[in-house]
Amino acid sequence: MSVFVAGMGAISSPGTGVAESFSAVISGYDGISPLSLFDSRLKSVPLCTQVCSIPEKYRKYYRSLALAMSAADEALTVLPERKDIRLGILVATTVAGISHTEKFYEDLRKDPSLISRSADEFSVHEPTVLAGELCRHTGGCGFHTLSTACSTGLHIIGMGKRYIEQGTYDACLVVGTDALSLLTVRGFASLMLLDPNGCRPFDKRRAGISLGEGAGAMLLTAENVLSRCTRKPFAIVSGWGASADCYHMTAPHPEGMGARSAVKAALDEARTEPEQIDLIAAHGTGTPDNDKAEIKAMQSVFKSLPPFCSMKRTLGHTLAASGILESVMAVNAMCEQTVPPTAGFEIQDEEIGVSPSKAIKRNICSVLKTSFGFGGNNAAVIFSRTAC
Amino acid sequence: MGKYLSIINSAAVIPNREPQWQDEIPASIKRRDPRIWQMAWLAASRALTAADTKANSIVAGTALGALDETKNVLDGVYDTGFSSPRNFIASVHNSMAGKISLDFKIPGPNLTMCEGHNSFASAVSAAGLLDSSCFPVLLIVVDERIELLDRIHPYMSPKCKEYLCADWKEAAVAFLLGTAEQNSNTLIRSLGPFPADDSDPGKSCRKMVLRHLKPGCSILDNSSTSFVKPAISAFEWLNSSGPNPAAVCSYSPSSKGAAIVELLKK
Amino acid sequence: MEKLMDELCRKIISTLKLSDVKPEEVDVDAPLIGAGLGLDSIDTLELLVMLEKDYGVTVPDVNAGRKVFSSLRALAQYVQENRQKEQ
Repeated sequence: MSVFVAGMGAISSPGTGVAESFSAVISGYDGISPLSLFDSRLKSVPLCTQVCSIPEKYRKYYRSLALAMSAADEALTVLPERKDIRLGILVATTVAGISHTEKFYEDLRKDPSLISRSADEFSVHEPTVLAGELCRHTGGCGFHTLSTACSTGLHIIGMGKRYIEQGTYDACLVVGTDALSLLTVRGFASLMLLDPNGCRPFDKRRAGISLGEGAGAMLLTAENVLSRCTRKPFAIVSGWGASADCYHMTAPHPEGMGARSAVKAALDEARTEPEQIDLIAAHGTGTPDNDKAEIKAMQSVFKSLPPFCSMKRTLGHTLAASGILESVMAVNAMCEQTVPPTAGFEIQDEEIGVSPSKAIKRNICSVLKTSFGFGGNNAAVIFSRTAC
Repeated sequence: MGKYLSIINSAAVIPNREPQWQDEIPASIKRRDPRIWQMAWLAASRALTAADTKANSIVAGTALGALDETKNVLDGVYDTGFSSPRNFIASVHNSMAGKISLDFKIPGPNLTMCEGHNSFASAVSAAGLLDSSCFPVLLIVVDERIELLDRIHPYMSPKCKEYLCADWKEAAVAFLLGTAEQNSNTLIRSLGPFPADDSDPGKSCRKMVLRHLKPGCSILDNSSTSFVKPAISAFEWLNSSGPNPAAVCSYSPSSKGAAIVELLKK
Repeated sequence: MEKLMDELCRKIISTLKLSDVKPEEVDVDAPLIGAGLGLDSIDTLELLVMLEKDYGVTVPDVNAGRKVFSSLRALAQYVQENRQKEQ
């Protein structure tokens, strides 16, 4: 049974909607700027990507929900009539409502009498609240909330595929969302993982990540739902692989062993040989360890490495949203038969020995997307063109 | 409903009942790791040791994760301008499962569901998605009682108070799961979370039980007074002779979603 | 210098909750990371935060941190030198 990507949605720093976001990615747009949404209280202002314009109708929601709604609605435009369709909602988020609750917590510390409002204000803290809201908003019949840091977005694509294959749902709306928050900015700063010059994926001078915010969404459907959609599907989700490094809480296995096994599992499920992969949309965060380990992992799977790219300088590292947001971009790249460039990359690292691709036209039938999270959590998903 | 899975064994750490539970925790973990991780770690250790088998993947369920550590990061920033890296790592919801995979060498899929009171059901649902090669699956449900929630409790709506008793229990409950084919003596599967009628969530659950579960299924628990109570109810049912089959229903007032876990002894 | 080494030792013990370590038993020339105190890379990051917070001393990156933590004596020396620079 095939599971299709019937609809897509996105909201990112460079763009509201898939088209604007993809246009930025394909042009190698440098999406980072000094953090202005709030005061991080760091000595030097970190460089991030920030969503400057959330559509008016979503501004009443807390930030990560507003981003999720925007992307979800766009993805669902292809299926306007869906009352009799069993729609599952799968949400990927790290911070959920923290951008709201951390501000209230600061106010509460200054003015303890605010405790009388605390139950309401803290109510958005639980990640499941976001999924519940989206479920009601979209007419879903079930919802699931996953939180595995940077790998979450890809895992929910795989889980959505499984739910459809098992017959639990006819379609799954998978939405990844994360908003910038003091918690994550200060957290990554304390781990010395922020690059003061902005992330430079795979570059010799790379020194860390640039945090970002945004949301990506995909409407996954069984084949029998496609006739109800207003357009042909974009791609097929052909494989999902997941693994744990069992190595370190924040650093990846140096040889990329866990990443390799996730990629192999995705290839096996997709019944795809490595040489059939035409593009790797890498995790490519820009940390010295991740980028090196990631390429090592890829080189242990691919005799000849296909063109690869990282979108993190354009979109920022959007944490739980990254797997889905970047997958949306990768599927677009496949539809446009164009390998995206890697903004922020200039100089090859001899220790890595390879460089990401420039923007080139290429026949792309299968794309591999990878994401690696805290705790050594690895995810890989393969998308295939519907007609190749 | 999700796929049936089998329960190989289970273990629980319920601090109220076992005040000296931390005596079993290795010193390096006690010094570095948050209390909630220690609870989960010990439950995992007990389940794996008792079964004398390795697990191949982990699915965790937690409503709030290490909330104290999240608060500590923010306190550090607001008080001193500095925050602890270890606190931040702990605040990431899936770090707990990552730690367990590290210590017990569990290399397969590692998922953490954050579904409030429905975290147990959500985790069972996620486990049902995994390939047979990923089994046995170590499923861990954990939440801890924290002082901040105690402070907020008097100000919660009556409905929320009902679902979070002031004396709410904290626990870590671990289940080692196999496929239904590998071991069919005790089975488990879940439904939901699904949107529920906020005015009478118990009714939503009863309707779903009648519609989807075997006739004669007794509702074991339809009053989730803490995040971990559904998992504790299942654990207690496994270790006693309760009604069979049985359903544990849960409701999250924050997401307005309900879920059901069906338990069946053959 | 002795006083600073002792003070740093106690700070390390309290920051990292090494409750079973006595300051007088710590070898001032032994590596702080890995063997001996059994500190890991995240402990190193914790100590970097402590150095900045309590002494106003920064370490440019984690690699430099490994040299600084090569022993208690090396750490005290680094703090002494850089404290002066920043004052």
